Amino acid sequence: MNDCIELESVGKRFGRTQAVEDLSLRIPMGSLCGFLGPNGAGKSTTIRMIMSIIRPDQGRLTVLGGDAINRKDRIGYLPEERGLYRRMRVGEYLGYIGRLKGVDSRTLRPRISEWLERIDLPGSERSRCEELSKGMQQKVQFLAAIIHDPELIILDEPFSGLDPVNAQLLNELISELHAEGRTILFSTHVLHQAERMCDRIVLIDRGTKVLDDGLEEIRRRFDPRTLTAEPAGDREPWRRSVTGIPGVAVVTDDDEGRLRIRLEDRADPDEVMSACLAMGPVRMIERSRTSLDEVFVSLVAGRDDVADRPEEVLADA
Amino acid sequence: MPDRSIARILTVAWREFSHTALTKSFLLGAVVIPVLMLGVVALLPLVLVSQLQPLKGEIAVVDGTGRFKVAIKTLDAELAEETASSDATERMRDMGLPVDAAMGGAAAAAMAGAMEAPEITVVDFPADSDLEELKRKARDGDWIGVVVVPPEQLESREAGAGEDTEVPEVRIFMTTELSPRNGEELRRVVRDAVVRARFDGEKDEYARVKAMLERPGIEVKRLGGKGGEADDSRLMQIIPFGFMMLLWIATLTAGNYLLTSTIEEKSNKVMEVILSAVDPIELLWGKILGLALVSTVIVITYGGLAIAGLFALAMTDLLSLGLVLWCAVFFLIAYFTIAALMTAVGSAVNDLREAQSLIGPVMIVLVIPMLLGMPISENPNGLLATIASMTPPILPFAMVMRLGAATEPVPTWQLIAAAVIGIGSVLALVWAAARIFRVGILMQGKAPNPLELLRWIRQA
Repeated sequence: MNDCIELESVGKRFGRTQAVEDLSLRIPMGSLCGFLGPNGAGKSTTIRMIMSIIRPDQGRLTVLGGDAINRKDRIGYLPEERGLYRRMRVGEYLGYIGRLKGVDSRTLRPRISEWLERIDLPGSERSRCEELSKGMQQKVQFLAAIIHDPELIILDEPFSGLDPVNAQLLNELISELHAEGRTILFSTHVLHQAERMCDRIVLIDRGTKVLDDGLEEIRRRFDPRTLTAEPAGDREPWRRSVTGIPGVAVVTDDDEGRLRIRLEDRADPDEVMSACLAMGPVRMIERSRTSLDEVFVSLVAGRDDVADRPEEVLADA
Repeated sequence: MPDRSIARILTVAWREFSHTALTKSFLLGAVVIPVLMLGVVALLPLVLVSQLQPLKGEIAVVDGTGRFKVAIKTLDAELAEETASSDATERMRDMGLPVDAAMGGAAAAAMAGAMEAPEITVVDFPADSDLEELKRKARDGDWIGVVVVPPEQLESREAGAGEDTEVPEVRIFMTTELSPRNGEELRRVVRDAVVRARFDGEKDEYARVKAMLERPGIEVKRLGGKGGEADDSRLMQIIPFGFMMLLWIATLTAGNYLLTSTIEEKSNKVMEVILSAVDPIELLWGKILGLALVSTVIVITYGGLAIAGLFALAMTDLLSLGLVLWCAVFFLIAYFTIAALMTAVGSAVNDLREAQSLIGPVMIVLVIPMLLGMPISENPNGLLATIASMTPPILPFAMVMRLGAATEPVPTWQLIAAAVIGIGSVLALVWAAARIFRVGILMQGKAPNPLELLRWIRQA
């Protein structure tokens, strides 16, 4: 598969702060990639470099097979710091952005009406941007990122500030655009959203990449090798029996009154599960799955204290 | 430059132009109001004419000799004859009306045509008449005024005589209803009548002496160094300043729009969206070119009005194609200088208040041409004017003043040198502004000081 975005040893420094350091990554064409990281990790800086809004100090950066500056018309971008011309009319604004992206006015007019209808803002072309509610404005901003029918869509925190209904609508639109074959890269703090939508995750922290893989591979890599079970009969005899099964390392209680059966490294989870079932009736037993939250915390919190970073670094990056 | 890049610059330029110039507030403030003002200035004399009241009525004259009455009668007849034949502007001056170039020949003619010669009749009273009674009657509306002419005033005069003796003054008591202009005219008629009465007493020929005293008309020409001659005009004193003010208003107004639109894009956080579609330099050029069009509209509006004024005054010989073309060159230099400064400042700050502190020093420099207005128009080819017209960033303002003022043309080598220096400084300024713009537009937080701006220029 061709790579849509390719970064090789890219670095960016603001004054004394190294916002991005020796970052290399590849986003395959057609993927829906979550770009995760704590505040100040360098996500927005990386995205701005991908968009060629700022230049990297070092490294090589290729977008859609070339320099991003010559491919702006094929990229849609929703920045984290986004706004509108307050006095401009919605149709005029979308038309302006569309024309800047190389779409002619005749094509744009029906497309704007159609999209406004799809985001539940039919007939709002003549409304001034300042007359719209914040949620409506955010939907218009999203439209500005996709009105020119881009091949690559980059969304920086697209869900921030959206109510659940509009977040769901945006979720559906992103999935739809992805299903049409577009490559989508979005940064977010809402990890469960990324987990639900993405097929690939890139996690960066303090300007360096700490994770870059497909979601399934990540789950395999971070498999906790733990079974969660809830015995139907007497709890203690069942626990004692299970502890004696070969391959079981330790059995502990979890917060919800279930038992967590930690497996030894070489144990086969399916064999242990069958052995557990043979020890007595159970209400439920399953292989525990690693959530992205757990991966995030294990990778990021394991490094330094995130909260110790100076505010200016967070704002810059 | 690739076609897409040009298309993007033009798209930005059109948005900047349409959202600035095609708005009600701009059309009203920069186009409609100046045109209306010109209309008012043109119509004002006609409105004034419609309100003019000719000086007509009876005056009571206390004159023991009776000679004043005769004199004023003759004078009245002469004035009526003059009114029918004399030059309009001259008559206006005679009648105590302000005559200036701004009124225009056509307006002056219309005014003079609408004016009538004074018609004053005299009721004579002996020297011992009861003055208080006459004044009471004037108050009651019997006369428009009472004039007391001491006999000494009508006596013959010899050169040098009468310097030691004090002659009582002619006294006029006029009613409050008489307009100030009519009062002035009455005073003039009384003076003339007294002088005429003196001549009549000596049987001298007043008309001959008056003709002898008539001051000659003078045609003034300025002699050029290359054998040419040019008309002299008092307007030359204000034209240079007018040229400079036109340039100042047009460039500063557009520059201010540029500043506010850049700050608006930053504060609305729409900048990054725009930068996802255009390169910062494309955005910079789009904005500068869009507002250049706005500035051109202002120049055409005000400059057009000024040229129309010169046509109305039949003074188009003050303009030449070469002058207009050179002014256009220096207009562009002035605009790009201001535009580069304003975009750089607009991109570096977060709001107008912060912009003021950075704009302050720039404005102080730009006010210098105003202070140099008088010295340059006094000596447009002097050392001070030459140095000022070669020094950026005041160069274009000083040079248009020289172009407007020079009775002797500005030497071509100086024009070319100033244009080269100006274009060079514009290129340097736009280059520096682009580097500040590239860094500043995405920068939030504390506004930079001038030293930090220099660091941005080096870093970008």
